[in-house]
Amino acid sequence: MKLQTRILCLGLALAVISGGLTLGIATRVFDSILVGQVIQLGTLEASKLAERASDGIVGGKEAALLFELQAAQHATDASAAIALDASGNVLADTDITMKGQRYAHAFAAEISASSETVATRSGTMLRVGTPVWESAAADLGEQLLMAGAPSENTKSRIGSVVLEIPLTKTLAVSRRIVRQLALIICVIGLAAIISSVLVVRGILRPVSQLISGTERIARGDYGSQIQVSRADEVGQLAGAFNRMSQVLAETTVSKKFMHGVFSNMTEPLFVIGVDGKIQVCNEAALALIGYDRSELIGQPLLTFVVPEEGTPARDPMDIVKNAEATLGTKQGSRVDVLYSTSQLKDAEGKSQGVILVARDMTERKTMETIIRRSEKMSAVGQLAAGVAHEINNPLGVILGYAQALTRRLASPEDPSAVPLKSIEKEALRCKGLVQDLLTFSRVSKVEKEPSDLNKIVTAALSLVSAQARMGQVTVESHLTDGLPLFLGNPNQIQQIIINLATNAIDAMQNNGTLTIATNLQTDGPLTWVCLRVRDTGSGIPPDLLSKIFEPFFTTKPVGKGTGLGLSLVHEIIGKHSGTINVESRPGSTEFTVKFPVRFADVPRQVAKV
Amino acid sequence: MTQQSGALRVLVVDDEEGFRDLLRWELASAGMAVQTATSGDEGVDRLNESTFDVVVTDITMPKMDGLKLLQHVKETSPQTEVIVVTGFSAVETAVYAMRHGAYDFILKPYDMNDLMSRVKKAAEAYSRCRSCGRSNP
Repeated sequence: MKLQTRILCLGLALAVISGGLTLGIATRVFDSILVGQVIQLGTLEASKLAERASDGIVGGKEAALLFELQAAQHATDASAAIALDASGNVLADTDITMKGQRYAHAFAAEISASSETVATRSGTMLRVGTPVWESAAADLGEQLLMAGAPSENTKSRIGSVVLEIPLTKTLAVSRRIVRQLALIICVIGLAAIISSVLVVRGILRPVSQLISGTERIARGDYGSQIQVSRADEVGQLAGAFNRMSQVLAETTVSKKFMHGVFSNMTEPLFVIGVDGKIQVCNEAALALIGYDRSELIGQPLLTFVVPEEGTPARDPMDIVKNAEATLGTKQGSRVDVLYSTSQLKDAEGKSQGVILVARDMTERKTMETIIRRSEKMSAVGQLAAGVAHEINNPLGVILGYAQALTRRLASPEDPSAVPLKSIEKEALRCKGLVQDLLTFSRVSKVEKEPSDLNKIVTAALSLVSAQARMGQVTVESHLTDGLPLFLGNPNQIQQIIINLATNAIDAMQNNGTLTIATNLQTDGPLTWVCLRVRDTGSGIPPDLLSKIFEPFFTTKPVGKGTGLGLSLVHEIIGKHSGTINVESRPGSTEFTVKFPVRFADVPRQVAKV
Repeated sequence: MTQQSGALRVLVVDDEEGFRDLLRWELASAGMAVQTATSGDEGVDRLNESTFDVVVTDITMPKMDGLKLLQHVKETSPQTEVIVVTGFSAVETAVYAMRHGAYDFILKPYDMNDLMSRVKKAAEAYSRCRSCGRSNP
């Protein structure tokens, strides 16, 4: 319950209880005072009446008694005045119907004056009775003035007088006074409650401002101020609060704020303790190497560093700028980073460890490779266009003579046979190179048409199969039906398949299996038709994997390959906006080529292959 | 084989001296009467001087190229068969030549055995044409 409500309830309860008590006491006091006055008056009048009525009672003179009784009734505003004889019979009564009846009441026999209040049908009534004594006239009044009490001088009781005085009016006066008192109490109480509420509110408003201010600080909103313009203790408290808040803002940075900065950094950050173990790392660091926070904290950073061959791993506690390192991810891959470290010192300047900020270099390295490769490609393209054309004709002549002469040899034992065959063989090798180079320079001049990858593969398979038989390689094809058409040059796509397949067959010993597969791949909004060429050969060593698409790179024996095959494949795929990926391990090498399906509404017509 | 009177007459047109000499030497050793020209214009001159059974012409030549020469041959001596020789992968040009009356095409650098067989086939076609077209007028 709010403090304000509690104070209000308490005040209200106190007001009700004290007001009720006051009113109760006041009622009794007023009643007793007023009734006491009536009793005094009644008793006095009854005594007077008893004195004056003694003659009448003794003589039984009703008329005289009635006169006195009426005078007494009038004086006391009584409802009835009665004179009784000694035995209690009514001698005279203001209510004349009562005459002669017996007054059945204790007063009839009382020897002393007495009074009582009785409740009747017409309200509360006071009855005062006083005995009348036979006495000498000289001291009669004195005796009677002694409150009618029996004394030595008294002789005998000759009767009594009774006054019946209604108290209704008296009590009504009392009630009226009490009612007015209650009204006054209520007004005062109400005023007290209202003023106390106002006071309480005045006190509590700054308190609630303090509460919200404290909550703001709790949220890290340092420097938050509250507006309380009061000179009292509450005002001082507010002033102290504002000063505290200001000091906090100037001296403290919220942990939450720091955490926000930390988590939202794009660059991975590690805090490493003096023991070389990771104390803190941010979200970018977790994303970089793929571990959960719980798997990293407390572990030596070196656990996650892949040592470079030949060089010992650098101590991560060394302060370096833009050093290179390779980290191992949870998924088993490697990520190259550039990192810088700085000392983390406490207030006394003592080293607490180092802060290491890394930068993921994977993307940049990939870009560098791509740029280097494309530069090489364009250089090769120009070279090919210029040189190959010039070499082509003389080469043709050399080859022509060599073949013509070889044909003319009389017998295989002719001394000229070996040199002539050798000239022909070498010239043929040059021809292959020139043809590759010329293909290279002509890649950009292709016209594309909606093509069906499966058709192209099927056409290429007939050429590949002949080659595979010679190498004792089994060819399997898994073509997915219903592939959408894509924009491509069927001849060049066929060249890709033949080049990849030739490499695959060359890489396999006997009994290998060449698998050519097609399928559809959806990657978000993009749709690709995929070609997969897999062999069961020895695999490509990881250190050569990055070089296989480079022009003139070959692992084949001299004279077997020009080193342009995969480079040509790469070039053709590039011109088709496609991608090529290779995954290789001993026993399985798979090239995945993807071509974008650009137009979803390309009609599903059969392409001319 | 199909030679009628004397040797088969062949005109070789190529701006490359090496190819010219090679073809002349090879075809002559096969018993053909070979003449050469270094350009399309010179080829036209030779054609005006005498009649040939087969013309082997390079396509890419300065001034008058092989395609124009082909056109000239087909206008002046339709029965003479023409084999066009073209640089690597210029298939479109070769196809164009075939549509305009060339008998065959060969891609450079060519295989000599292949060339010989094509020239001989062209000669056969020429003789067939002449025998059906001229001996039975």
